[in-house]
Amino acid sequence: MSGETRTLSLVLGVLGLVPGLRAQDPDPVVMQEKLDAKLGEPWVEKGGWITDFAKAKEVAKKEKKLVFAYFTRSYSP
Amino acid sequence: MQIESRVLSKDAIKGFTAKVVPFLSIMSLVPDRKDDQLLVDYGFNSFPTFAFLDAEGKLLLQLQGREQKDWEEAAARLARQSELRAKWAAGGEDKALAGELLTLGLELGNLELAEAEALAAKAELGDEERMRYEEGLLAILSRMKLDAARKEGKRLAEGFGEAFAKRLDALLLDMEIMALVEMQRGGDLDATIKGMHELYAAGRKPDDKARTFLAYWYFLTQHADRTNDLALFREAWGNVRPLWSATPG
Repeated sequence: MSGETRTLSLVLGVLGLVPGLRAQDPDPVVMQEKLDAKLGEPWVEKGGWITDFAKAKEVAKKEKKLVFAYFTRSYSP
Repeated sequence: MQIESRVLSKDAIKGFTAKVVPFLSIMSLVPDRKDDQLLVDYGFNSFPTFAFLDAEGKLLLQLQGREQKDWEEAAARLARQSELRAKWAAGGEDKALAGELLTLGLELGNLELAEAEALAAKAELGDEERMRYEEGLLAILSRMKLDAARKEGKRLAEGFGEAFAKRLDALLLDMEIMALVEMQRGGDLDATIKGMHELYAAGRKPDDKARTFLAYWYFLTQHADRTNDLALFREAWGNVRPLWSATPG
């Protein structure tokens, strides 16, 4: 029984259900590099994307527009 | 992300982003970075997520579509909703207006419970509209905190039939299991396993198509393992194993 649950734990760990099997804390330097790389991608500037939330709300208020929010991440492989 | 090369990099997107305020929220895991966890703050749980917010940051609509035309269509529907709400607020409370506003809000999935109930009370709902309304109420409850959903669900169930009550019970069970899974994610595995077993002992089991089915039975295998409950283990493992076997890789 224990063997089977251990194997299952591995499977569910991949799904993020078991804390002990989650990835270790990320390296802040690497995370910053990945963020910078993401922010430097051509489509970000080209599309006029605002990355400061407070500023986006301020512009929306001033221009009476909706905020179109795109949530993504920079740390994915 | 594929969407960036497929949609957001295209010149055509400028026609859309010029009409809105394009805001890019990147979760980076860089420590202490401002608004890094904004996605979580809004209760979203997957990447990518698109949403319309108002100028105060209030969530207006989480977008399901992944194409520019979907976003443009959603923006137009939000504008229509805003126009109808203004009419409603100005005292134009006729049945047709209530019906249109209710239908639109349920389709968009962005009504608050009080607004939905007020509109439904005024609108003339046929059988089909009433079914959509009940469906919409369950969707609204699913977006609430568990305690509020329990309280409001109990109140609503009194006015609806047995089928609604059954679906409500399934929804609340799903939300309870999710809350228990969250406790485990927060580090309290014991509470999760105990809570899951309490549900089981009370005869509450999720449908095999529920998103929480696997988690529910998985934690029950853990409970069975801890308590040497072979019968429970067999039942729980019997439910988990087919799904586990189907897991790619």
